[in-house]
Amino acid sequence: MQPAHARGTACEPPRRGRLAGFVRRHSNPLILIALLAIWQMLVGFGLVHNPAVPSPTAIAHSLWKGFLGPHHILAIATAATLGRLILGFAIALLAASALGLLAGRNDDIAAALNPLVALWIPLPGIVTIPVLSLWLGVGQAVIVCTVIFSAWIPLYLGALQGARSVAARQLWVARSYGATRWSTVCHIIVPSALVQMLPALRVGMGYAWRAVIAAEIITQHGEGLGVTIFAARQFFDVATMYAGVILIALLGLTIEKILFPQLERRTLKRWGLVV
Amino acid sequence: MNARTHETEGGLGTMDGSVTPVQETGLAAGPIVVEARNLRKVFTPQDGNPPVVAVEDVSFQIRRGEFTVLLGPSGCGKSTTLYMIGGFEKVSGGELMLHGKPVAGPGPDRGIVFQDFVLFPWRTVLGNIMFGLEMMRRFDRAEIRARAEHYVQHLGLAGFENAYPSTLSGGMKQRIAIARTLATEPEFMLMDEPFAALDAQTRDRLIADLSRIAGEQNTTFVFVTHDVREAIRLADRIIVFSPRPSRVVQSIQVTLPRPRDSYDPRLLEIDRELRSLIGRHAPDDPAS
Repeated sequence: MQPAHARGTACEPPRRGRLAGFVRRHSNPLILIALLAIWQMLVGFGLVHNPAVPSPTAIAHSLWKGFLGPHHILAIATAATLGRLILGFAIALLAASALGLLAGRNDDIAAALNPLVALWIPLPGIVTIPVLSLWLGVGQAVIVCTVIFSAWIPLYLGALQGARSVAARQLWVARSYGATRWSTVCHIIVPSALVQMLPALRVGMGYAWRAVIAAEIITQHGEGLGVTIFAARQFFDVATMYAGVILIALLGLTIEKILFPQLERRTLKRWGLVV
Repeated sequence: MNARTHETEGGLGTMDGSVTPVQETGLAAGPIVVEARNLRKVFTPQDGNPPVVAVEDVSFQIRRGEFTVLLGPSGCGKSTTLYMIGGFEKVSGGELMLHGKPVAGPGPDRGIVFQDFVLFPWRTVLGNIMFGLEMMRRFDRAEIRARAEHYVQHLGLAGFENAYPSTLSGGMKQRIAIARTLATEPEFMLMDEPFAALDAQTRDRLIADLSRIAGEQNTTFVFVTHDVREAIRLADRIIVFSPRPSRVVQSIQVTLPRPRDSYDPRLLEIDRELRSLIGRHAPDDPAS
């Protein structure tokens, strides 16, 4: 058996050049740039000659034109999609949190909701489209409802688990000062449930994001990124179609990697509830 | 039982949990504010397991303004008794009177401090201390802040007002919890082994600070501990619990002058007497 310090030095990474270190630290963007460069060369040098495969520069031009061009096609589509997403997600968040917090604090309510939840979990949100369009007609309401019905399950389960894990003695402290029911919810139950609710919010947002795009593609209603990429495909504006796809990926990434980590840093991390 | 009282100040006066009035103590004995008569607590598990007797048959009295310590080995039901005084646990049998009326639920007259602090991690130090005052809805924002800031100073938390509890040490956290409870100026401070989770030095300083605060405050302290030395340093009266089945062995008055030093020979003598008293009531099985 070697002494600890000897093993320690053995574990140190071997020295490498500056370039290797730089590559390692920035591997994600570098890989993307490399792939785009290869793609650009394949198309630019005519090695791939297919109208269904535009060059990255053509896609970038479409993106540019879609936001700053005369028709702002992609800007309008993005705004419409985000509007539906936020509206649906906000409704789902309010309703599912209220239900989940209630169920978490009251076993009878949890038991009453349990069969509905169990049946709903395996259901993809987009199955609501044929059902609801029968009642509401194809329109904005169906798309927003699809978002709600896709996102509510994780939000509900997160709120339920969160409300169940509230420390009993924190509630004792609140009770001893005569805190009202509403104060207890706002000052104790919601903040301590946030430990479970924040990851659930992230999952729910992922579901909602997929649902809004799928619903737009299926319903082809109004403006929206899903509508635009499908319409671009119909008109064989392939560059705009890819621009839309890339935009969907980038927006999803922003929500996932910037919005939620920020939210977490300002709450749970700051309070020392997660490391 | 030997019911005896010491005439001299700085001695140890005992009485066997009965209604014998306290004599020649140098302390003005206040009226009885809490009285337990044959108090009993049984927990019945939901899952069909047999019921657990937490408090068997406990009788004692707590007088206004006295620093009362409930002393006993772990598992003797002293914390459960404290929770019943707080109104957090229901009484299973016997009587527990608060100002002559049965305890009916918690109230702002009885503030509680726990061993593991039970702070609100989403609130800053000042936010935690303001919590009780906010919930009581009796004071305006400016007064709540002023009061909370007073107790920040009082507990030595100045400079940490805007810190979150998770960034602070155990001793600081317990100072926050004590400040939060004192800030509402409750009639009773219920403290459940508040220093048991702290290191020796921190505990020593907190005992000294609490002793000073208790002297200034017009509050009745009910303090649960299993630490004999801690009990003697803080208490005007020590109510000694036996191990299960829990009973009150004795109610002892401590009249040593304050501040008290752990190495004061008079304190050590009381320590010895208390240990032998507890030893006599310890179960025969040495493993338990």
